[in-house]
Amino acid sequence: MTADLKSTALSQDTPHKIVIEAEAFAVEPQALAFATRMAAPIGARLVGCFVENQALMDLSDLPFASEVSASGTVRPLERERLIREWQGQAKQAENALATAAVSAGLDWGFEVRRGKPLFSMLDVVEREDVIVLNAVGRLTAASEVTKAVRTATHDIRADVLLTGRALQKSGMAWVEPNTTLVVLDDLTSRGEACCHAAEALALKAGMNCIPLRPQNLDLQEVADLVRRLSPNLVIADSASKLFAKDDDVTKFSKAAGCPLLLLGSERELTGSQGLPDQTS
Amino acid sequence: MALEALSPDHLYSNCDLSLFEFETTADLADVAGLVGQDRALDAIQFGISMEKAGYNMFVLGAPGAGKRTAVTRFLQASISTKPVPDDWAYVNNFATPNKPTALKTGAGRAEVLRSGVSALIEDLQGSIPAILESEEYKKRLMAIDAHYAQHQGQAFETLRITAEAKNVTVLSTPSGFAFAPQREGEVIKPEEFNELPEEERERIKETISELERELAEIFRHVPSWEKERRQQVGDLNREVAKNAVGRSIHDLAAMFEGNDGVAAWLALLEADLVENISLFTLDEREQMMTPSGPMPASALVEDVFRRYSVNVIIENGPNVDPKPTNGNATSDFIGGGAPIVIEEHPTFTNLIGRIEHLSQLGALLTDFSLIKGGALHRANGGYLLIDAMRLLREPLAWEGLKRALRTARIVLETPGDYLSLVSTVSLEPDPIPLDVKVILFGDRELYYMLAQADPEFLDLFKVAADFDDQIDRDAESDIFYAEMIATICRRDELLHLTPAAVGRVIEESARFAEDAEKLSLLIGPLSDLIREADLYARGDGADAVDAPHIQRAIDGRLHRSDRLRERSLEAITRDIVMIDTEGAVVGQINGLSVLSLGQASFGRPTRITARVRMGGGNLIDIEREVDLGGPLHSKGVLIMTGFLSAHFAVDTPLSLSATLVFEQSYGGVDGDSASAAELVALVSALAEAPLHQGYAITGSINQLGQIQPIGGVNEKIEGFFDICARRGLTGDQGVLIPHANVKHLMLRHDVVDAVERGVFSVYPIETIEDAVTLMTGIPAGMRDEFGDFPPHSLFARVEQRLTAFAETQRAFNNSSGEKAGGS
Repeated sequence: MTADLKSTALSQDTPHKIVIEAEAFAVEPQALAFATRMAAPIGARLVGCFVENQALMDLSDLPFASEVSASGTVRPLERERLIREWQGQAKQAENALATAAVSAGLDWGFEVRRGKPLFSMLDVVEREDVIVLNAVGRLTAASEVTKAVRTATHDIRADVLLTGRALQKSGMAWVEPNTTLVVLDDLTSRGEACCHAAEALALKAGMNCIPLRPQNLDLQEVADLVRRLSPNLVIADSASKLFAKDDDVTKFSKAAGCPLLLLGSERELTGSQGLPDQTS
Repeated sequence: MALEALSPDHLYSNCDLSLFEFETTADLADVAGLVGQDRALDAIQFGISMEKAGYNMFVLGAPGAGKRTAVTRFLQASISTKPVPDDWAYVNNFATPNKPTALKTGAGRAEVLRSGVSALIEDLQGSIPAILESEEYKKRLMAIDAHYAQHQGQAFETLRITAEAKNVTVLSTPSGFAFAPQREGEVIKPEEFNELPEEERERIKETISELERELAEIFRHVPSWEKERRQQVGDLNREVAKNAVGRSIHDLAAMFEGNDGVAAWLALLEADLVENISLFTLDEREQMMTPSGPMPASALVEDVFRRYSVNVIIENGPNVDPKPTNGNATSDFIGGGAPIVIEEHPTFTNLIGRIEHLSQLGALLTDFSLIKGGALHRANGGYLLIDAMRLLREPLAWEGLKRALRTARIVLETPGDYLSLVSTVSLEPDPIPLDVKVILFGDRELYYMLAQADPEFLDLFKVAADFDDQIDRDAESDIFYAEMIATICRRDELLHLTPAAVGRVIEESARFAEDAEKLSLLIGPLSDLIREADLYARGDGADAVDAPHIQRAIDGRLHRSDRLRERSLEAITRDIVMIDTEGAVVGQINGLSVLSLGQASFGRPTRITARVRMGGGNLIDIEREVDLGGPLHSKGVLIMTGFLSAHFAVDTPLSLSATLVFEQSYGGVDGDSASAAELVALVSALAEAPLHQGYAITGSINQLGQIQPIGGVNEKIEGFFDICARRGLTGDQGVLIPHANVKHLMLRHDVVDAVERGVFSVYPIETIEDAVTLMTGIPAGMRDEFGDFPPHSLFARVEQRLTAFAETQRAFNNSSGEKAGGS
């Protein structure tokens, strides 16, 4: 392994990045493993991002500001303590990322931003990067998550992996031989490109790729169908007709019960997506 | 009338070879039973037939009497009619693991249970993970998780919407959640908030406080929701497990229909499997830790499922291959009936069983699977044979055995627990009911000592099978002996014996029995003799063992143990130990004793001297004075005193002071076989009549002057003969023996030959008169009608001497009294 590869600045010439929200892998460690496996074969840089919520900082200046702990205890929200705890969380996340990256021989970086969660992170994302977000079990309104996802896929044209506490197969990696990968094909050209990308990933990972071409099925019905197949991963086009409504993506992600990789729109989806080979 | 010496015929009883109508003992069949042991065999039969408690047996008799062989043969004949005992196994007590449950399964069925449960667990190790991975199960599990996640999420979402409606947003903090006022979707900054009207500010504060209380309430409900979720998952797992386990358990339970104990335990097993279904998942096992880290995978499965194993303790049945629990014990299952177990090493744990421990990381661990049965377990329902002396030598073994017999239960505990030395938590396995007949083997002294010293012994061992050491010697017993020899030769693959050899063995047996009219029933020494003769016969290239081979074996045995006798003879012939074999001396006589050390046993003479003077009537036994005389010896001396005082000068106070001593004896003397010699020496001293030193005498005396029989008569005669022969027989030498001992004579051929040639004599004596007459050459004398002994008779001289002592004593006393009165 090489020595510390950390870089605090991102340059325009940096190849693909996998940007992973610190909260995502704090909740689901598999998210970091997946990100690492994606980054390795394409030489992408692994970047972690911890966002200090500005709103919380503002709140702490109010005299009555307090927080409720998981045990139900209410105590004052102190600015200094808040900053210390953020620093501790960020350091933990950075160490976890560094360990994963160094083990895989990847270039890595870690950003600490202050601003609006999800959206501040998008500042470091570029076209054809992959963003790993936690979509389930957070207080952020679903519409906010949808908005962030849409910004990432439609505006920035990056791919988004939505994670959360998976309901099945704890302890197993998402990309694992002899497991199932489902790809949603809406029978458009982008849907077809999405299928090719999924098949390439499945081939490299030794997974079984099952294309689903849901016609005349609504979102919930498709989610039920996916759940019955019990896949490790679902791949879909972010601009798919299936996600017509704003919060459809997050709804589908929760309903499917497994991670959802949304491929950014208007990308040329080649046969080789460069997704991780199982043997590497 | 002069006493006559014994003829050679009386000194040795030859075997009548005309009884034997065979070439060699190979022509004879094996001996059918045990001759001369009717009493013992009846007792054994009774003891075996008596199935009540307390009728255990003690088989007593000298070593080599064939006790164990006889008992085993009896048992072999009877056990095939007895039912095969039940099997027993220990299994886990799921409610109280330190009290393992004992299960009775029926003969040959414990292994069925063990293998059935093992197969069940193995089957479940495959089927349960498959069920837990099934679509149906996962769907139901996900539904439960989803419900509670939704429930929880719904509560948060409702609160969030409520807050939004009040222009408050929920923010996630590093350690919880906070509520912040917002306007148009953005959190109000502090400076904006401060510009709000006081009323508005208060309203916001109040709203936020209320929301915080609601959130805190939600958090306080989360644990109970989680508990509900876990309960539902548990119910699901139980339902799934019950279906999977119930089928297999049912099949197994059907194999033990009618066995309530097994059925009850299988029900508990099912319940435990259902409760612990997670043990069958890899995840659960991977979380099992030891103090030093995760448990090795190889040990995981075995260790995790050990709780469901079946530890077979007692296994019976026609196909069982007996396996001793230690290297010394053997067990025989003959005819498929009750077991016969011979425990050669009867320690406490070998009898009762033991609880083993495993050392793991410095700690000693145990469970029901480490219980090991003992001899009592193996013999349960049958017979347990133990050597009594070995049993008594082992600490706690005797007490442990008695307790088991008394309570009719086998209670497994360690010696430490038994002595209450250990206070750590240990196993307390269910006791197993005990139905066994214990047969102890030992000598008579041990039996009588136990009967006297242990009050429980006769209650628990009511049957004594007393094996005799001897049988009458007659034609029938001679033939039995020949058959017995044939049996031994066949059993030990020895050359068979000719009739002459058989005859020699019979004669030696009579010698061993110390009685010409008896034969010894101690098979051990007899077998040894035949084996040793076999060696000599084979060395000579003979086809059969003949009389000379037997004689060589006898001589060889004597020679090998003869060093002490040779040194003793040498000490006498070199006059280191002073023994006269010629001449005559007053108050000195040759007594005889037998020295037994190891395999050596020989007779030797001892000089006994007596000295007399006037005195106060004391007969001083010097051996007793210095504590070298045992009680029997002292008794003999006191009897002698009684004879003297009753026989001589009865109207006169006994004014005698005499001393008696075994010259050059420094090792202690007991027994009264020399009391006749002592009395003769005393009479000689009193009468001042010399005693012939060419004679030795042995015999016990009573107060009437009668000579009583003694032991070791052959060795004693031969011991004195050897001295005389070494010095050269004079023709005027011999031994005086009690008449009652004549029937015990089986003397060496050289002694018999010397008697035949008239150079040595053996005289039977019945009274002290016979002895003193022979040894002094002076008639003893009998009182006439006036109560007087004939003049010049020996006893007259004794009485005169005693009377003189009395008169002198009186005169001395008078003189002393006058002197005292006059002064």
